[in-house]
Amino acid sequence: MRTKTEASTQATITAQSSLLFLTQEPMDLEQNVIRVYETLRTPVYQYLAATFGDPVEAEDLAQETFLRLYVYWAGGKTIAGDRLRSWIFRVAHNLAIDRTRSTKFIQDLASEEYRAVVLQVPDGRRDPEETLLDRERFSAIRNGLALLSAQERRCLYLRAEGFCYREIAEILNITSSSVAEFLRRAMRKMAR
Amino acid sequence: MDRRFNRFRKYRDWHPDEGDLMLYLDGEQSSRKAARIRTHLEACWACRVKAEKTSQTISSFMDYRNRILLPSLPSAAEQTGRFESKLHALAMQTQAKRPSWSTMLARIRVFSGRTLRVPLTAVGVAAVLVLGLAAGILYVWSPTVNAQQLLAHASAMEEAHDNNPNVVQHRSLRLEKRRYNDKQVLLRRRIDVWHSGARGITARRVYDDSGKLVAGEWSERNGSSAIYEQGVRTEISTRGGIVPEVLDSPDDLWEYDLSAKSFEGLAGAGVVAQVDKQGNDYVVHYAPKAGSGDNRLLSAALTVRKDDFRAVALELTVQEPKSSGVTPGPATPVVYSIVEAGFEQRSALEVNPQVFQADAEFLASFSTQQGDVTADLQIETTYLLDQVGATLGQEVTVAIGADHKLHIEGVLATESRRAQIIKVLAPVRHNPAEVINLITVAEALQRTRAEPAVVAKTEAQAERASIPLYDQLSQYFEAQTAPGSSVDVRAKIQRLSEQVLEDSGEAMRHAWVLKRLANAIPPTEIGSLSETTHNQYLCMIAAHAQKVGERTEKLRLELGPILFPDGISPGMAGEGSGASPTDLTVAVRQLFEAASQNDAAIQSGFSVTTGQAVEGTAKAQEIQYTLLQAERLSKWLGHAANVCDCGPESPRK
Repeated sequence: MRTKTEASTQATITAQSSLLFLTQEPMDLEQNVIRVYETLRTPVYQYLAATFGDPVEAEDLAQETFLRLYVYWAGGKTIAGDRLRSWIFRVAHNLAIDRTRSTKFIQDLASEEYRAVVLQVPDGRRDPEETLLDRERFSAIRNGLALLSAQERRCLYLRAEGFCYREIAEILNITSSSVAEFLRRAMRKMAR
Repeated sequence: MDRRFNRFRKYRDWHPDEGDLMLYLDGEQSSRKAARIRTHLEACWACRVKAEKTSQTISSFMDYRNRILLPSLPSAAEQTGRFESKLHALAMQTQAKRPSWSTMLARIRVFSGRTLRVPLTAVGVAAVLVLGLAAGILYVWSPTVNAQQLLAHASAMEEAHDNNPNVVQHRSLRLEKRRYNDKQVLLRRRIDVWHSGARGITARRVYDDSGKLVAGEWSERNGSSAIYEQGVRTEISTRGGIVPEVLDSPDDLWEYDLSAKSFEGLAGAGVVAQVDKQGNDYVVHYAPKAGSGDNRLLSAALTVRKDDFRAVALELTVQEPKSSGVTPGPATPVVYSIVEAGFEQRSALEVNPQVFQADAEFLASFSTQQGDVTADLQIETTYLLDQVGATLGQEVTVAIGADHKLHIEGVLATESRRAQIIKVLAPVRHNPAEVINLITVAEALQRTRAEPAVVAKTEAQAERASIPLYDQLSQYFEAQTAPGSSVDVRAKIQRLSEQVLEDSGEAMRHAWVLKRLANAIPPTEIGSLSETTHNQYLCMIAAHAQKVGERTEKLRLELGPILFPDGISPGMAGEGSGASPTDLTVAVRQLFEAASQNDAAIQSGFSVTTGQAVEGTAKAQEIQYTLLQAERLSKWLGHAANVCDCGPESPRK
């Protein structure tokens, strides 16, 4: 299900991270963290903003995540290249959980905002019928999303990010079968 | 075929649930179960529709996510810069900490595993052997630390730190001046130093005991700097180490870096050095060689930290010069010490650039700012003032002060006059090289209220007073008066005296302006003026010279029939057509001298005095001479300078 672009990004990060520890002076370490930040900050931010609801907080947490990466590497620890991406998401997730543990943080777009956004969607299709269909589809998905629990939503967004069940389980610190169950429920709610 | 049919039947009767389908679609099923589901989906339309429906839901969700949800999120702001600065600050902190044993171990483990491909224990044994060998060598051969090498190494470290573009260094130093004998503190200062490696600039601020900023230095990458201290701004082009000259004014020690590089400057002063190890520090002691000639420096010591070779304390014992001795009597040694009280390195990105800018409030107390007076500026300012007649007399003066700034000062009659002058100065008013201090008479009086007022002459004194040329004038006026008419000769003399004094004073005021103009710009610099200001300069010379000429001629015409009724004396004929001066500034000086003599002669001849009358003829001749000379010079100047395009404008008044 992964796109070609995602796969190449993954490969780039893998290549970077596998070389990271032994090849660099402290300045290189900084540069490497910046490179990873530039590659992954948008998906991390999007994940946090979409599942935790506060974009400002999400941006802040995303930055904090990559600072943790520096500390981790500077401490002489290593991360296998193929696990770097899930490591980043796991740290981001844990930071978000720590920060908002006591808050009901999941939010969705308010109805008015949603309508405004939906009406502005550039559809690229000339057929008004298809546009209308799109709106109906989106409306159904939105209604379904509103019913999701926090974990269901997290699983859904992480899956959409291309993580496999095992990786999602690692990030969320749950079992793979729980991931499967959360995703099944999410699908059912959205398909209604 | 039968086998296949049997399998079909077997899987047709079994249906995967939603979860199985989901796992299958996501590729998360075991290969065996995946194969079973795949076969079932071929057989079962109902399940195939279910699977397709799930796929559609996934497709709709992804569309919603990509086209609605993510674009609706405020985009992750372009904050890479902020992140980088945070990261760099973190890196600085992390590097500042010594690596922990666990980190060291981790590094060794990675090194041994990946590079040497030997077990950690083997690396450990090898390390112990190497360390043992090193300890043995050190035991047998204990090297002494050489002061020169130590300072050279410390200097190299300082240079590397100072030039690190990512770092801003901030140091807080304590400066103390103590009497050597009884250790009494004579001076205490706090020095705050900011240095930017990227910009190569340093800001140094000195605070007194009460925390008030009392001095500062802002230096540039090229080594030039501006020092503000005790109301004086000094500019220096280069800054070296602590050179022996600093001992002439050791109070200026704050201007020098607490660094090994600065300290190395003392090496040139014929001194011997020795290094002591004190705990975590090296202390480099310098003492002058016996008979080295310069005995102001008695001893010096620099403390350098062992771990990062940073200079953290400096102590100089100096023989106080006798003239500025701390206590009366014989000169006493004083100890200057600079000790580091705080040090931090910050990421260049997170330091407010404001810390490198000179404090406006502090500079205001100097009533001067950065900038240099140029001849052009001086002429332009004078020209502007000239446009409103403010250069005449001493109303407003334009002069370069001890601080190398152009001071425009004056006491003005009224507020509106001040406003007029301030307005005309608009083009140069914000030039940092200018200091404008214009006050009104009322303000001046307020400032000097305590001073005793000038005692005015009383009427009685005036009554008894007379003018030296009174007799001569009275003869003239009486001769002019028809017999029998009752003309008040005394009143006529008074009116003439007032007129003559006014004309002479006016000529003198224009002569003053000419002199100031000539003095303002050395003849060698006139050539370097821009075309505009050179033109303005010549216009002013011509216009003021013309005014001097006009007033002088008027005086000659007024006084001629009275004082020299026989016309120009034979001996003075040449004064009106004598050899012309060759230089504009020379002519200006000569004209000023002539006008001064002229004015002095007229003053002494026509001013009211209670003294004796002077010998009339001698006075008349003197006046005649100076008037002619002034007239000739002013004509020459008016002609020589009036080659410019002055237009109709000339100094008003």
